[in-house]
Amino acid sequence: MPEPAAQENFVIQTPERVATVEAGAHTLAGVGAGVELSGGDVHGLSGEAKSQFQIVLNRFFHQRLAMIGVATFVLLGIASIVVGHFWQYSYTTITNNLNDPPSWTNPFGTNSIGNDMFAQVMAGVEKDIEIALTVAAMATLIGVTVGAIAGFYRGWVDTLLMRFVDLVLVLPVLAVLILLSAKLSKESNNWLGLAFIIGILSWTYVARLVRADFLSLRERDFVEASRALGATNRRIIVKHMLPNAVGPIIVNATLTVALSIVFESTLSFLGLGVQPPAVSLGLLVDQGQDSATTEWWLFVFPVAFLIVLILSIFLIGDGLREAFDPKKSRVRA
Amino acid sequence: MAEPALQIDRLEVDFPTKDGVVHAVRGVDFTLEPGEVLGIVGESGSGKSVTALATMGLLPKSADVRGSIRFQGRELLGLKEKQMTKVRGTGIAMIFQDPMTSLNPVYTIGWQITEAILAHQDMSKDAAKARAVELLAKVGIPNPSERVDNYPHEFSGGMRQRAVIAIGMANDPEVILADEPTTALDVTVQAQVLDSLRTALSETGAALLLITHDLGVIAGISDRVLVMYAGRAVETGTAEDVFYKPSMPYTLGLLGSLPRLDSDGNERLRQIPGSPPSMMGDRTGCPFAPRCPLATEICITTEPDLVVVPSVTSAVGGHRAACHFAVEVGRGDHGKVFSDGVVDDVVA
Repeated sequence: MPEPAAQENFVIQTPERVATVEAGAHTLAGVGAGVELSGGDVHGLSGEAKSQFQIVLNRFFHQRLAMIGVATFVLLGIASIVVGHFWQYSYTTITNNLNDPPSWTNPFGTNSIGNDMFAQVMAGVEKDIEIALTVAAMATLIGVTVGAIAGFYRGWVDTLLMRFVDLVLVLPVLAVLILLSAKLSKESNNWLGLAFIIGILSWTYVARLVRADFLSLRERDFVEASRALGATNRRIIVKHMLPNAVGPIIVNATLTVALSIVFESTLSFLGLGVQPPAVSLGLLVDQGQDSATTEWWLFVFPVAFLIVLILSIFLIGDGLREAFDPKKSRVRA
Repeated sequence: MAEPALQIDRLEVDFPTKDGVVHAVRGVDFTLEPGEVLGIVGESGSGKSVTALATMGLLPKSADVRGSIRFQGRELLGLKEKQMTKVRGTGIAMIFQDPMTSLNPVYTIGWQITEAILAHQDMSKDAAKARAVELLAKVGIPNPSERVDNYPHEFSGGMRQRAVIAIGMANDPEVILADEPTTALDVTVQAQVLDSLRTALSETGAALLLITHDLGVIAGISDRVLVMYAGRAVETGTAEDVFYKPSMPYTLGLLGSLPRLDSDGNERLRQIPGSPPSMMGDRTGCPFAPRCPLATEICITTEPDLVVVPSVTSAVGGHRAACHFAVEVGRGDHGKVFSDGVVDDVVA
């Protein structure tokens, strides 16, 4: 019987390797218990319950690229807040230095009216993250609700909701965004409205994803079993099925964050997004593009931060997808 | 108690399909007294599981269910979903076939038992958790206070099925429906699971409707047996009646297809030739006739009713069979009804 030896291996693993081995140990636990070891509680088999979520987190934390993504994103987020509060210039401060190249006082230079570009770029990062997180939260909430209901109830409910999804999907997103945001762009501090507009156009993908997941989940035995135990539909959807669909939902929410930054930048670049004096990276790119060849710092810094920000989120999303991928999982449920 | 725990009368279930109506259950009657164990045997597709699901009200909406299903005298057919939800779990609990899939993979075993309790009872979370540990101990999970925090993937198949039984017991039901609870399990583990089931019965005082195609399981645990074929009950009686005096060739065939420990070891297992009939459309005659070596003219034209046949035990009327030659078959007049098949020319 190979199991005991394998368990010993597991125990003497060096700390760095513990995570992978732990994932394996569950399979071993299954095998070990499968032969009904008389004690049932052989050392090392019990008392270290790990939820699938913990396993996923473990796998996520062991991906270098994803960790780089997390570190970058978190650093950018913290930096934008810190700079906003403690940097010598606010993004609205107008200095006497016009169009200065990067220097010690103005690391990213200044623009034509004397704003410190470092403060501006970091304020743009902050605004972008705010908008993106709002959009992702909104899109996920709407998408999950619609998808779960459609997938669970099927029939005419499903048809109705999914045709509505199709309707939203066929809308030319950019055209609608332009149209709606043109109305909103009259006011200056309207980032919430902007997030709202992007949000109501971004939930469709989540809805389809969750619906597909629910269509398969509803046929699983444990759903039938919980119904046989007298659970109501609502209880089954929220408590039994939703947690099983959380993987794709989280991955998708992450990607929505990245995509909504792209959307926001596009709109701001077209002059329909965030309005001055508020700043966003897209707006800064727009303002800097004319001087890209002369005052390069006005263009290069916002573009670089935009790219790094989006890239870091995609890295996180990719890492999450890897971590949630059942094919990578050695745990059979 | 005068009222039977579960009484099913003339239950018929049809499934309309594109190719016609499938008659999955064609008139099944039985009663389940409180605390009694009734085993339902039959091949795949004989309507066993459909009968159970109809009782739980878990059939798809497209299914056409007729007849009467009374739980403690209360008619369940036609009950609103909301009222049915209250019966499920507390009145009738169901244990499913495959413990690998009938537990939710993202929650601990303890959470799932607690969830079952809290769905029906007003209880603090801690009390429910304590009850979960107690239930796990009862079904024979070693070290339940630690195991309660395990996830299903950390349990073996047998332990999972015992956990499922614990969930079934959680709300102290009057009737437990077990749909092939041991089929997905290793033979060595089956006995343990059956033990857990027995414990569940003695703890809750529930009646058990055990659906299986394993005659060994039935023999071990059942008080009475119902043999189903092609959506109908073809023989019913006490376990002794059905096993010692089978009065329907199909039952005989089922029993004959079991390996016997008391044979000399050179006998081939006897099989029932052919396969179960299609349940589509209307039929005349005994559904078993095409496969039955005793079939005569009358079998092809007339479907036999379930009639009283002689019983091993003294109770008169407890043993019934649906066969035109039930009495002869029961007497053993026909000897070996099913041939030994091809003569074995391989040296054993």
